[in-house]
Amino acid sequence: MYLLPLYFPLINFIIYFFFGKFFNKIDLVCSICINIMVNIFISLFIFYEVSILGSVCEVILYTWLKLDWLEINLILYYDNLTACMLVVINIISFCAHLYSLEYMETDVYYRQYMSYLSLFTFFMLILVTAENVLQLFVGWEGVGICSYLLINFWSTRLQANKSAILAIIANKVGDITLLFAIVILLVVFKSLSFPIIYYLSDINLCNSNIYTTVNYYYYLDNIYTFITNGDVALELSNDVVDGLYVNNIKDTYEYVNMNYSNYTHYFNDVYNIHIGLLLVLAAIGKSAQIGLHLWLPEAMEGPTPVSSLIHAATMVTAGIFLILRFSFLLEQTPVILCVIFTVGCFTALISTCIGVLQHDIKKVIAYSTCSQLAYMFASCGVFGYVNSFFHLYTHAFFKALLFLSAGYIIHIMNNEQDIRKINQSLNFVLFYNISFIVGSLAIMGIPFLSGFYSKENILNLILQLNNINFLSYYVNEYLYTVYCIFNMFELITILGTMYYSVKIMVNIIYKKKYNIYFIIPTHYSNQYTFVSLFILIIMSSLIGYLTFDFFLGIGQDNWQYTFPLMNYNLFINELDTNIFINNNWIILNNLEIHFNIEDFLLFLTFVYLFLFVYLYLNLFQLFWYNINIYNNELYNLFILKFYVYQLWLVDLLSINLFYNSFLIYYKKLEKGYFEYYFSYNAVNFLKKFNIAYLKTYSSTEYLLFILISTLFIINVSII
Amino acid sequence: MLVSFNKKDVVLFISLFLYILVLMLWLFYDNSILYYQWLFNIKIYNLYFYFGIDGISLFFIYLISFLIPLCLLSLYNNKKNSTITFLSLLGLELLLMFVFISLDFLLFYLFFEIILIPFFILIGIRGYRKRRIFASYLLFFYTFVGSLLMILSIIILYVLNETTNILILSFLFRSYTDNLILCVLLLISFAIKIPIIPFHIWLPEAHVEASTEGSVLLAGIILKIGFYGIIRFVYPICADVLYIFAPIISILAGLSILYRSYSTLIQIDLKRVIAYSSIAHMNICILGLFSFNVHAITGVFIILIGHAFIPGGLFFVIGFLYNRYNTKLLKYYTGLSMHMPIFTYFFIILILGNISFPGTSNFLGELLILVGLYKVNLLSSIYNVMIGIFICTLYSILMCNRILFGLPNNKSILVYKDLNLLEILILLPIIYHIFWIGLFPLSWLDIIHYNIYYLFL
Repeated sequence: MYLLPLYFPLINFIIYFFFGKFFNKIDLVCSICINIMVNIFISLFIFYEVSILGSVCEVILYTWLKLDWLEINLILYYDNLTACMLVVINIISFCAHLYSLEYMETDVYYRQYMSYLSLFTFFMLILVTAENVLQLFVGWEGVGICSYLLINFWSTRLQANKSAILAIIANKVGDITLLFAIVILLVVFKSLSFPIIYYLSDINLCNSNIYTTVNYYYYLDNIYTFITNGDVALELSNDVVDGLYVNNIKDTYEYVNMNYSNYTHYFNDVYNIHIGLLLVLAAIGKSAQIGLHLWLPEAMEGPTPVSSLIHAATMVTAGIFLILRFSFLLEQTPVILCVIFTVGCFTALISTCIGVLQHDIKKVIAYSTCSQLAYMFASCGVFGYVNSFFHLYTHAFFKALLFLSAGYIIHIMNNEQDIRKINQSLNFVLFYNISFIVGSLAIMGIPFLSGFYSKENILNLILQLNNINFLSYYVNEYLYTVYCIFNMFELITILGTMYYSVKIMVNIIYKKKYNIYFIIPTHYSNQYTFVSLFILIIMSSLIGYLTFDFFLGIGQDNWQYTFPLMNYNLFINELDTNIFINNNWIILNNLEIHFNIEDFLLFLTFVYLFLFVYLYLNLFQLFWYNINIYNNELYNLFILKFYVYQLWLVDLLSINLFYNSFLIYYKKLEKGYFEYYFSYNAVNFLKKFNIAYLKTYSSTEYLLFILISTLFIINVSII
Repeated sequence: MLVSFNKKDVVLFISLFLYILVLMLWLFYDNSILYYQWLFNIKIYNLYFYFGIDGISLFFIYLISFLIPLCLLSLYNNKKNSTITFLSLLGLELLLMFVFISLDFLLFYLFFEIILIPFFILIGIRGYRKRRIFASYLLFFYTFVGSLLMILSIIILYVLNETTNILILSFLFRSYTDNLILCVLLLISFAIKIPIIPFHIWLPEAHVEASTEGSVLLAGIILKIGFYGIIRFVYPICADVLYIFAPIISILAGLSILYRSYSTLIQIDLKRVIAYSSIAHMNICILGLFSFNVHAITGVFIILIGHAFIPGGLFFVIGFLYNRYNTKLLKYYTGLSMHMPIFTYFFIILILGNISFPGTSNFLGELLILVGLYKVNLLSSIYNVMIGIFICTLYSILMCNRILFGLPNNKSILVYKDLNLLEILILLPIIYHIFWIGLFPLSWLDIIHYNIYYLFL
């Protein structure tokens, strides 16, 4: 049962890719519907067994690598996090598949497209069900490659090629940092599986909990085998087992027990910052945060169902998933959390500022995706792991809804994406406008839609931070004020989200007077798109209300068995000494805490809000009356995307790279020095001796001679 | 008989028979023995020459016997010059086998030299342009310089120890300075073969000018003789002085990676791009080899094995393109995915192998090398490798994008023809091997595991 969710997308891929030619379309539709529907039911069953009944499941596949101390087993791991992600991925994948049946129906390479989509789902499921970082890395890279192929799907367009290359290169930066992190993890912890790293990275390790101690001794067994090998014995003898002569297993246990805590402290001090920074960088690359955020809006060149599945709901959330999986490691160093929080806040600000002035309907939604991902990032920085995951959960549904309905509107408008040219469409496609409006309201956080529940929790989080006494280890007073100022960026983002959502809605619904583009509707729907959008409308309006208690309700114990999100220290130690505490603690211990919010903070919030309303209104006025808009510096800054794309990426980086590699490396070194001094002079020198040129016939005779002579020699020797 | 055989068929059958023999060899090979297996000797004029196989040489023999039938198949429908090249390829196969099974330094040198002649012919006769003469001379003389240094070191060894048998040489005494001199001579002679930075001019020329099967064999096997030589001869003979040269070789290899990667970015010849990327990968292997770590050296072997399949497959694919359109320049090819889907899929899979996609052989090798380098704290080397991997992605994807995607160019290419059955049959086993090593590496690692430990004993 637990292997099946991986098989079905793979079977889909194989059917479409290799045998798609031999079937007609109706058979393929049936197969895909049945396969992914079954997959949804299986994932719901897994959700029931794992999350609700609380039985964590492992499926051991095989040993991938066994070399000295290095042993990597491929295992599928199902805990609460995985089960919830499975539900999200399968439902949205189903909707995207179903929607594409109608959306891509006229395309020549229709079967190829569907196979790529299924392959993407397969890799995403591998990423989610990974037990160790290596399996996660397989999914991580495979998802990137599928995204490259799907962005580049209409490959005759130059813009699609450019954005696909940009996407894969930005992803590759993240991949390489993750690879480096994997290397350090392997060398430090001697293992890549999340449970083992979790128990080893913990400072207060061996106490009364049975599960912990079992794993602890399991690892001690491993340590014994390390010591017998020469490679690690050296290291241990330097660091821990000073001058130790190992006779039997008991001796080893005692020695390692004695020196174990020192050893772990050593890990924490030196390596955690390196590993944490690398992991955060990888997540930044995948989730399109500040610095590497450029590829996500550019990736909108792909077909719209692809944008809804990959660039809104699943692939870009892989970075958040990585941070959630490694939260136990990241929260041991305060610096990393600070970095995560600031990255999230600044991304929110920047993506909103750019998104407000965009006119392409898909790019606006892409920038809003960027800012929503930034919310998840920022809440991870202040221990709101569950809040972050809940936002991921709801955001996937309403963002997929937005993209799919936007795609339909684009189809109707004869592939016109500019919102200034889209109008009057309400009259003939009521359902699709309604779906777009539901999505917009959900993303704005209008009460009782799903966005409200998740967003409100994230914004509350930072205001609660000061009241929790035991967080003083992480955040002192000065840092706290900085955090509060950063939090204003998030509040500003709400305004921006509101602004562009309303802008698109107004443009879609209302008639304009000065319309010069009269676009005739070209396309009408069938039941497939209707079904997929209907599912998503229901999900994005109700899922927040229905599952709020499941995720963030008080007294819920479903996160208890998700070890990366849950610290066993909580049950072991007293409150005062413990520094590893997160938001889940409050939920788990049946505490209902109502926090005070300081007056000063509220005042600051309002001041910032008014300031920004004033600024935006000014901009809006400029925009509205066309007064000197191109001389406005702020406008230019926003519309040119903070000069990052043109000035840094194109002018400085790419052009310099290519010109220098031509001028210095190729022309000067390869064709200059090396060829001159090493080959050209040498050949000239040899030409002085007048070597006769070999003829072709004679050379083959030489060869024959050599063969015969070698055979002869062997013959003689055997005799 | 109803079926009539011509010369080509006979040669093909012989090579396939050899492949089956090598598979039997692998089947009956005992993993648990540290030492050489199937030792036998021949006596020539009171000199005993030893032959034998361990896990390391078994792999190279497997690669040779695997690649040669594919090369023969790729030439099968080619009517120009084919019988001569068929025979020279078969001769090359036999001679390369001798290179890898001889346990005597002198015999190794002999066969190492002799394979230059068929290679000289392969490039000189079967090449495409007039520049091929220049390229074959470069190949010949660069290797010849290395060989001179090697014969010098063999003479020194024989004078000092009165034997050239590698089974004995590692246990005999030589003074520190003697070993130092020997190490320098041998390292330079093998560095030319790999090639490391100042001696690398011959390889791109040879790759570009050689025909398809020449490039495949060059990338697949000839480059690895350098590594094989270092592991089989330099490691045991100069074990006490090798660590002195580790830093300078690491620096040179790191520089070669950066230099090769950057200069690949602007190449317009398809074969040149792959030749350069193969040099970059070889230098990553050198970094691993001189970290003296078990994991890194295992990773080196994995890359060496996988490197026969990935650039080999790419050279085959480009050869198929060349057979159709007679050009290897990037600018004539655009939008092939529109009309040649099977070609597109094979090319994408091979490019994925080149950029070390997890699940292919290169990924496993690079991971193990990085682990080994981090274990011995060679951080600068790690950064070099990282930059190499990143830029490898850059130029691979750029090349892939230029050829496969974009608007089809109807001026230069008028008739599109997808891969035929023979070409698919050549590429399928290559791709099977790439994923076999990547996904189930234990069957490969078991064999070399003990031999690598034996290096450090």
